Amino acid sequence: MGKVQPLARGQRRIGHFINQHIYTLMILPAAVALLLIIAFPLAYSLWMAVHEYSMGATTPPLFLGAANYLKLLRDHRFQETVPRTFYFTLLGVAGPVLIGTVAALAFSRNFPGRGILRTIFTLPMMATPVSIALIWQMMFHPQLGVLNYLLSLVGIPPQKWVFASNSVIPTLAIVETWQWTPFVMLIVLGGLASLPEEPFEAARIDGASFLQSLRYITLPLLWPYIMVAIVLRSIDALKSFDIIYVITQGGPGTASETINIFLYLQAFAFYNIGFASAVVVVFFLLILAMSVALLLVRRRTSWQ
Amino acid sequence: MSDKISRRQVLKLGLGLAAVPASTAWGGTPTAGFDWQQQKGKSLVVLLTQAPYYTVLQKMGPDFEKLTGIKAEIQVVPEQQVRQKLPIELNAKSSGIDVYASSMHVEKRLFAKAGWYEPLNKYLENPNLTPPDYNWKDFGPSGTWWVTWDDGTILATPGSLGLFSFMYRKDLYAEKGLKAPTTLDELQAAIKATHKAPTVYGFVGRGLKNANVPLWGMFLTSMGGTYLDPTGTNLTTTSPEAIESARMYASIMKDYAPPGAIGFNWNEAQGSFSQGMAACWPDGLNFAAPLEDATKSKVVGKVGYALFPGTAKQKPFSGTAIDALALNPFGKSKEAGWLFIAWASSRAVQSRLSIEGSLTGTRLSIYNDPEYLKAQPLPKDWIEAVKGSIESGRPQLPQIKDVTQFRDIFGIALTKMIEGGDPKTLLEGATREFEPILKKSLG
Repeated sequence: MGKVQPLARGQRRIGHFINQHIYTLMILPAAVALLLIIAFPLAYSLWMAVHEYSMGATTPPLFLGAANYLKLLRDHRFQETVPRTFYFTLLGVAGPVLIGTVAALAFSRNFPGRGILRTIFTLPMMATPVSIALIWQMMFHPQLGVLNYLLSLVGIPPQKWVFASNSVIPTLAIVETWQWTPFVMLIVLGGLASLPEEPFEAARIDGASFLQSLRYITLPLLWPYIMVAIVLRSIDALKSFDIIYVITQGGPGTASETINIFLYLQAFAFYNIGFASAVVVVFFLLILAMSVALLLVRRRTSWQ
Repeated sequence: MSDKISRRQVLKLGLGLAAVPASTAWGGTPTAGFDWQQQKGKSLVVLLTQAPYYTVLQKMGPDFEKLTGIKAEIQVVPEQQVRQKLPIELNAKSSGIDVYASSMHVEKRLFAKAGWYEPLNKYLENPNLTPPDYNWKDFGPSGTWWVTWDDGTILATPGSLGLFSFMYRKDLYAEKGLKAPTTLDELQAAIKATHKAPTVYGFVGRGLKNANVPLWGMFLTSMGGTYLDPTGTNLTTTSPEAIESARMYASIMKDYAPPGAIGFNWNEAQGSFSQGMAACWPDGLNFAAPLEDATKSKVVGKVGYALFPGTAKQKPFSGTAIDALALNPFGKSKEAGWLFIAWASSRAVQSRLSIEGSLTGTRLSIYNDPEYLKAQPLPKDWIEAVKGSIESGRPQLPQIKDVTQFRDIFGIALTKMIEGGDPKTLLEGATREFEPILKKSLG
């Protein structure tokens, strides 16, 4: 091996620059990619939202100012989608979080066959939403579906499931719950594995019952993890599209038309791109506001 | 249930595959005096909507390649996705697709105004590009009317004519001494007579918004009503006929259709009917194949096919919608694309699509061809109903640019009526909502 040459002045300076800005340089590629795939479409959406822009139009887009937004705020159909979306989100979060937490508590214990059962339990999460939606749709058929058949075995009259305005949202939430409970379970299970042993030992020595130690030790310690699950689940449920679209297309009537379905119809069924862009912007702000609120709550719940 | 369906799908796939060896060569010898090989070496992308006949056409791709030397990549995609993809591609003047299937009952006005259909007149009139035996007139007036613009420009070639007619249970009707109803009064009486809920419902049909508008349109046309006035610029959706037809549609759906029919599209309705749970089902005759397939249906041989009942103002008829093959004006190999269309819409290919994929095409000569009649697995009743339907066809949807939004707005009003809303108030509301959209599209 030859003698190592000292670096030239210029090379030294580059090395120094890299050392000084190592973090900036490392995030640069990601930042550029992000800018291209998020910032540009967002900016373009903002531009389209202030124009009369429809696909197949023979005239160039006409500047409208805030007209699309004003139309949206006055649109009674849009107004109905907002509480409906939150109703669906509430059910689509509560179901998976409750069942997922209970399942995590069960699976954190050692029992024979745990590995296989846990794998089976997580399968719904890995299925393609569109194909499982099609299967659920068949199961909901009021005359031919297996669900009404099962109910008939225990003497319950047939239900209309997604085929009636008043039951469609809770029914869709069942599908959402079925698919996303494993996701919550995995997060909570991870949390359970990381809990310290000492408080539980102390509680056992003090003679606390299972329920007492669950209520006063396990759940408070787990709360930050559950909160993470709630935040992620809320954002996902709010944006839920495939399950609703495939099963009901927003129907009966508009009974399951969430903001996302409304947006889809405006953009890709009616080709009102400008108006749909205004919906995108408002929807984005709603999601952002909710995420920020939830993150603030989460920060309060973390361990000190 | 889910297990049953997936088994059916597997069976369907199996049947499809079994049909492949049968498709030896292109039915018919290459036309004498016509150079099918003139565009040899070119390649095409063809975008088709998911339908049994297009699946057959996709399988016939190699025959086309052998005949012409043109490589055709045939994609079959669900209709919803195609309707989404096409405007995006065409709006960008993309040459990524050469030939596409267009649902002209929805897209005609929008696409034609945007210049998204390559006019086909010059191809059809050119003897170097169109085989001498092609015979445009064979498509008949109900086919050619759909694909021709007001000024005579031909926008596409007719594919499947959706024939919304009347399917009923011959056995159940015979028990009550009934035949296929020819008037709306007879229809109502028959529905009442055959209704034995919850085992058999007197009626099943589309209730889902958007999909339900064509069904209401059948009652509307039957009563002599229309969606638009003769100028095509004003809605007539609050006329006495409109209100009365909506009332009749909604009350039949409410009282005699299975629970939940408000959310039914054609496939849920087909499910109820094919499992013997409904006595009649007005819908497209091209949905008949599964009804006559013993692996999928409990009503094989029991289904009667007829025209939709009329009134004093309208004799029994069929409602039409059309699926056509169009050429992308921004495509790079338009002549080769046209050759594909000319082949796919030729008599021989259309005949095979009808036999293997229950295409209800508008080439009238096919239905009198003894070879076709021998090979068609569907019952004679069906063929007769198809012939009668093509002859009596009336467009089922308004001829406007924003058909989808029209269907959406009026579809929601119809579902509210089935849930008990007042037809007059709801139709007035829907008309008020749609009027500005119509005016804007005309202006």
